[in-house]
Amino acid sequence: MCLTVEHLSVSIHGNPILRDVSLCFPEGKRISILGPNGAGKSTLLRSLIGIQPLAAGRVLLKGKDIKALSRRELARHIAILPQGAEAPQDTTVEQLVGFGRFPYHSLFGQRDAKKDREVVEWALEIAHVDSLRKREVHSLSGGERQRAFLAMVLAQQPKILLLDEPTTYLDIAHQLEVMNIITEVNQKYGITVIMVLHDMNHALQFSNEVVIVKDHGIFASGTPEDIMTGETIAEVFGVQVDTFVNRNGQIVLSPVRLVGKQERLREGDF
Amino acid sequence: MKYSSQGLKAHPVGILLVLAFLAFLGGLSSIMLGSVKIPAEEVWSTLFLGARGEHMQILMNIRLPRTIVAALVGVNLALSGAILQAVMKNPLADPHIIGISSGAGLFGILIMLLFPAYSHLVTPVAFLGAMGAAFLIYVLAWKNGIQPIRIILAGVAVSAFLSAFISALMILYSDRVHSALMWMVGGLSARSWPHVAMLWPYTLVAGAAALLAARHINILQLGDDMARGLGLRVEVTRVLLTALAALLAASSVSVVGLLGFVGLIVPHAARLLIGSDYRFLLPASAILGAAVLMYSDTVARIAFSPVELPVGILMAALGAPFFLFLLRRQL
Repeated sequence: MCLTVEHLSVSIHGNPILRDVSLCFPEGKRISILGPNGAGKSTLLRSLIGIQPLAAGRVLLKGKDIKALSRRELARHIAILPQGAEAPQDTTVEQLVGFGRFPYHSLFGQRDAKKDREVVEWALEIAHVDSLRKREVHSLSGGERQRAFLAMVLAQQPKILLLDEPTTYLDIAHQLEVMNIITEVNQKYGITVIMVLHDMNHALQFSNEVVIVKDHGIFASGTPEDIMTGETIAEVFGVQVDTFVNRNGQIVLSPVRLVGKQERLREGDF
Repeated sequence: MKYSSQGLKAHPVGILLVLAFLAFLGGLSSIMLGSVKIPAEEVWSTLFLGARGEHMQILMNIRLPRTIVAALVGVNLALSGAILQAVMKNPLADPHIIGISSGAGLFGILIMLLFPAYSHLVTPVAFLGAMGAAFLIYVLAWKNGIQPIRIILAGVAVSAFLSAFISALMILYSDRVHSALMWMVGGLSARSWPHVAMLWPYTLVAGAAALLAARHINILQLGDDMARGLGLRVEVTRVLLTALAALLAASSVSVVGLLGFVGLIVPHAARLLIGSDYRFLLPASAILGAAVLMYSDTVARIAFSPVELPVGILMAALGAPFFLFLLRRQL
């Protein structure tokens, strides 16, 4: 089964962001969306959960247009951790994670308080924030904060989790911690993870599918080993990379120099 | 909105009870104190035992309805401000922002200055003016939904526009301007049972709706995209909550005039006491709003006796320094 995108087009203020994109995001996988700034990665991610108005096309969840689902129903299937999520200063981690149960509440409040509590406990534990539960979100470090928000969207019990640059602004230890949690969530609980990443090596190490977005469309998609070649990276990002294999046997890319427009300008063939 | 949480860590329900007790004392003192002092025993026996004491007329027809109006206006304005601060994501948001004051002001003054014979219609007409101005700001700010920043900008523009007419009227009819001045400041003088009848349905219905929406407001505070991801229909929620805030504020302003600062200050003070969880912040704001207005009106009534100050003056005089105090705390 796939989360399927059909002939998707998006414009923002009259500028085309995505043009006629069709794609299948296979369920149960960890999928990275890569591409240069402004290529439409975040827009594609936002489209998948219906918070991006579409100019054309549709998104199918289990063969059903997501437009046919209410926001609330959709929130029980797909969760998103957007960039720039915020919380009032005195919100504790526990309260924040509790907000993840909102899609399961009725107009008058909780339907099943016991279930809510259990799921919140589970999410706190998975995201390694159970020891921080009484702390205020604003008193946390960047990495702790991101894990707290991760716990909140996990409390939605989604089948598909969308993450927009989950490791941006984090130090390398916190980056790895977040990526490990994401991997565990996928492997242990079968949650499909679709994430926008900037770090090529994270995409190589932590995903089993990669989608490369360039010039408002899909440039390539497939397994990271197949498509993240030096040739592709040079063509998409205009950066020449060297490829190594590290002691874990993982492929690692290292940028060498720009080979894009700037370079060609200098060589006078533009 | 930033407040550090140093200070009380009491249980929210405990804080609500303390606030309710303070509000009760405020109501009692508002009924007892004034140019004629009514002893507490007489208040008790008249209200609850049906006794007919020597001050029964004053108590039943002046003090009690005025105190109730103060409480209801306090509740409505504080709830309106608390809702708007979350919906507009702006700590400066208060009922003025959505045009309530300029709309009610212009229409109220129009009646008072041009058609003084119809001055009994000031309240309903001002209500129409307030809702009309709020609606106009809505329409001007609408573009694929409501964005807080567009509402605020449209609100400033519409308010400035309507204020020009208010100023023009006050200059053209400067001989009749005294009643209009009282209205512009906001006061409770001579407010009685008809005003209570006008206010309470809004307090009850809109207040209940606001409390029901508290969890939705909590989600709204996480940012638009996050809220949508959690299943909240952000645009619909924002439109409904703004309408609710407009109703609450319009009902108050049309009864007491352009009473400022309650809608701005009380929610901030309540947040300081009880935190940002709207399930507690809304009731705390409501109770604190009632308490603040009952105390302030009592003081405004007796401080310069026999002259009675409009409570709006006292609110501004107290509110502005308190607002600065909040500002300093945040830095």
